[in-house]
Amino acid sequence: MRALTRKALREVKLLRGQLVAIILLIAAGSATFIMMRSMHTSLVESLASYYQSQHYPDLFVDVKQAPNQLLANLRATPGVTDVRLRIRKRISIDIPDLDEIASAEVLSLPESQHDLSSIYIVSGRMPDKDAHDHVVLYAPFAEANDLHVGDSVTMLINGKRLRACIAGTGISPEFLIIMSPGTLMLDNKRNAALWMHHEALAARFDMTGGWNSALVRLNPKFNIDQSRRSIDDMIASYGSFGASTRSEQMSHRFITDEIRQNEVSALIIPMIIYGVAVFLLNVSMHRLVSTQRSVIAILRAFGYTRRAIVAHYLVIALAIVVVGTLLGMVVGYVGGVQLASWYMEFYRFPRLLFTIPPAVWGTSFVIAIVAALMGAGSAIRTVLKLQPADAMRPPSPKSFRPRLITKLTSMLSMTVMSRLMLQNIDRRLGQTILVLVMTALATSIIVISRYMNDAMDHMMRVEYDRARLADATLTFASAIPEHEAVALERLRGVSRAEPYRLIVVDVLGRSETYRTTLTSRSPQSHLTHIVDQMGQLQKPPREGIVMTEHLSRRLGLRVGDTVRMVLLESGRDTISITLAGTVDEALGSQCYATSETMADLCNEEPVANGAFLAIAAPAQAYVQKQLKERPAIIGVLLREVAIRSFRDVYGANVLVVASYLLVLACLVATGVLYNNARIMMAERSVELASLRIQGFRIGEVARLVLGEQGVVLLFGIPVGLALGALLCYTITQQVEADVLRLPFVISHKTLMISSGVIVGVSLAVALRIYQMIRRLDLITVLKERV
Amino acid sequence: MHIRHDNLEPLYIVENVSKTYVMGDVDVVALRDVSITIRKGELIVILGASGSGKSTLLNILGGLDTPTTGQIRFRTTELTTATERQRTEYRRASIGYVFQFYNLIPSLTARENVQLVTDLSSTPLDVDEALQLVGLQERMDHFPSQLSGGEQQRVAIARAIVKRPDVLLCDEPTGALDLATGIVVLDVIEQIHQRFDTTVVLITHNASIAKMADRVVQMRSGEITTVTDVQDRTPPKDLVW
Ligand SMILES: Nc1ncnc2c1ncn2[C@@H]1O[C@H](COP(=O)(O)OP(=O)(O)OP(=O)(O)O)[C@@H](O)[C@H]1O
Ligand SMILES: [Mg+2]
Repeated sequence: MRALTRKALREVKLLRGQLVAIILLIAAGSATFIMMRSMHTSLVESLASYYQSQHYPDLFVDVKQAPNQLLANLRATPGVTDVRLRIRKRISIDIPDLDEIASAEVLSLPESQHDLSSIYIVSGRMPDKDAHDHVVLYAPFAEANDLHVGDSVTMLINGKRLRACIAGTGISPEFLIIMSPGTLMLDNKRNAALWMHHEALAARFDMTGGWNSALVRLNPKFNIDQSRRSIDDMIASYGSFGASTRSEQMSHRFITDEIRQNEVSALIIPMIIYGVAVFLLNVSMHRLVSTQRSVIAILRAFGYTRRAIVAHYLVIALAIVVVGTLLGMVVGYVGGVQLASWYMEFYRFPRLLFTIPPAVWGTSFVIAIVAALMGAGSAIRTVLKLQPADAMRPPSPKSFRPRLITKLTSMLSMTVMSRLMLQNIDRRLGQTILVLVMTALATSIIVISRYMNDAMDHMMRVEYDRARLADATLTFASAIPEHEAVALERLRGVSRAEPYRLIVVDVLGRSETYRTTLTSRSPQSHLTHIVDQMGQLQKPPREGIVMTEHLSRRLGLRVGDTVRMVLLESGRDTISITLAGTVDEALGSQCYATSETMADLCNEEPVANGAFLAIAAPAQAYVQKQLKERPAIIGVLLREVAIRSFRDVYGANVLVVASYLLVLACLVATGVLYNNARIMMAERSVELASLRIQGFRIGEVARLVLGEQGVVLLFGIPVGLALGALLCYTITQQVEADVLRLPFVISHKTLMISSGVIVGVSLAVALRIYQMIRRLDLITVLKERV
Repeated sequence: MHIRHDNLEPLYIVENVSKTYVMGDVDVVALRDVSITIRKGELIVILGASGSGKSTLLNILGGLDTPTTGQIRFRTTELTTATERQRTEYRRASIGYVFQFYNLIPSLTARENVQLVTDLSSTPLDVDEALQLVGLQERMDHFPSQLSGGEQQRVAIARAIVKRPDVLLCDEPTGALDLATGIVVLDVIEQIHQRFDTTVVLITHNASIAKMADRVVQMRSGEITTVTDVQDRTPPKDLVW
């Protein structure tokens, strides 16, 4: 082994505490980069191949009912390359083990794998040609309810119960994710899709020879809006809800939002971690060079070239970074596989293979090399500038020049020990400030990790303690007169029933049209309120509508403007109405009006699409059973279940992300504080030992070393909390999506925990320093020249 | 003028002390069965070749190190079995150290270097007085880098005695100094010894320095070969090397 290599190994061993911290940070950075970046690619590619293999359509056309003869006209529309007509209806499924009825969409079975929106079979197979009572069931629903091929399910169609046999379970790109209607809750136990033969379905719904849903594939070279308009014109007279594009599909909207966010975080988070690692590497390399000036000089005098010595230090830096990167690759791969299976719980792909593209491997190595160069660069420059004779002298003259802090505090009367402590900080002010910034950064990361929890908690409180107070929310199969809905109050156990009206509308904005719902809200309601992010109630306007503020901004509408919207009901009327107000809601983008206003708009007597119920607690189970018997009710959403599934879904996610960030923050804080204290110990060991020899106690000497850390905490933590708050605020602004807007709330508990963790880390570092001082070799030090 | 100390109370009783360093397979014997009694107010010079165990003995006396076997008592305190904490308290209360390389804190002035240590004693000397004793009253506000080696060593002596220790331990205090400067430093030590009746143990390579001592301890290969009472003590400034 060459002497230089041996030297390198010995040095690495001496610095191992610091190096381990740096390696772990590099590993965390590259693991995060590899994991998130590859996940992004995997999502994009899996989605594309899923869409392609199952022929995901470009346009979705919904009508009340239209004849099959229209097929030829649709096919002849310019730009259209393929059309499939089908029937699509909301029904309920009765699962015996389930208290509520499950809500489902039933669809015509595609005839072959070449059909638009074909089914990917997960288990079993497609039903035989004439097996009219065989269905394919949405696989996640089957799994959640422990249903298997060969079992039967009971559907409630038009008031009649229909038992069907499960021929297979499957998924389709239209249902990457199914949310409970009117909520953002993933609940595979209570939401389903199922497919059965078109003719059987047509017979059940009296739609023989007709359809209510068409899937359209377009030639990508054509203008999508033009084709869409021609189709809209063609179907206008069939009670059309209009043609919609992929981006108006819930499932597509969710996955693309996810992919976009993923792309951003795949960039930002690893960069922060790499930054800290490079900083630490830089400090350590500097320290190595400065303590080895004489060694360098001797090597130079022995005839080692400058290049050999530079290469020597570069090799050390590279080794550290490469080891970290390799470790990160392993962790990144394992984590990525985990992440992919976690994604599969939300977005149901046929498979979500986590592979790391060669470009990502490559990039992470390039980042590693750049990091090593940046980490070692300035230290190497110091080596280059060193003349052999220079290096024989100690690094900085022993002379002491009082600097800013020392000058400022020289007036104060303080013990020499405290003055010495201040000088420590003063002498390495630049370092101290950097350490302070890093500590603040670590603090802010913990704030962010806790903030998500805070925001979700707050949102839950606002939603379920202020806005949605009904114990159950019912959806009716079709609109019924209001008084019939109110009659639900007569059900034993139901203490109050409030009907609501819901119309799907296209709001016409300045530059775009947005499909959403217009729902009735009553000023006298006890069970539901319009509530903003902070929990403030807002009364529904006597006239006009109220709109989610985010939506009004997106559409360029202001309070007082006249809003034009298409009511996607039988008439497809376009109406004009005043925007009476906006409400800064956290969830969704929708409109509200009183039921009187809505009845006026539709020129009809007040009707209800559903109802909110208040149910006395002991009667819950009884009422649910009663509701299950009523075919007119196709959806029951229980408040309690909604809260539980919200907690289950988001709680788990938030916990995983928060734990990851917490570990990261601890790593950063430990790395920086420990590293710093180590350097101070190394630089000052002779001084500290001579104090110990003179009779200073371990604690007294430790205080001298740790004084700087105290100052770092004193300023770093408040700065970190403020920075964390600022970053959280930025996140709330960035994450502002149509479906979810995080409220900006940070709890006291978060501030306490964030500070507490950092204090805890620094106590651990302090303990370690205390040990190091106790183990200082006093005798060896006596032989050294300071 | 000179007082003999034969009748004074013993300060240290060192009995059959050995020190062995285990270095892998090899045992290095630094001290071999050393016994000596040091009396209060004595000035002892230890002579011996390099590697003969002088520093090891001094460090054991100073509570920096513990013997492998044997016993050492300071007054009534058993140093052999003392804990780390007890030895720190012992150094704090009773020991002043002077190093070969001064070991002053570069960022503190001469006065501050001395002042730092006054916290360790309930009855310290006045800082200015201590610096006056070593003849540095004029240079109190200078930083170590602005002082010569001899001056730095005098500051180190002031620092060692300001807490009024019972014992002053000096490991080659003149080792890094030239002749004339060395004499000035030794003179300061001598004066302190006289004035405060401080017990002094001083290591040197230079046999001619031995003349300033009450007793001279000669060491070889970890053993004390001779202990000589000095009959005609010579003040440092009259020493000839
Ligand atoms: N920490 C140690 N580990 C191993 N051996 C040691 C250690 N310290 C001292 N020794 C050995 O003990 C012996 C005595 O050392 P000591 O330092 O007491 O000698 P000394 O008389 O002070 O020499 P010098 O005049 O050169 O300072 C030497 O052989 C030395 O190599
Ligand atoms: Mg020695």
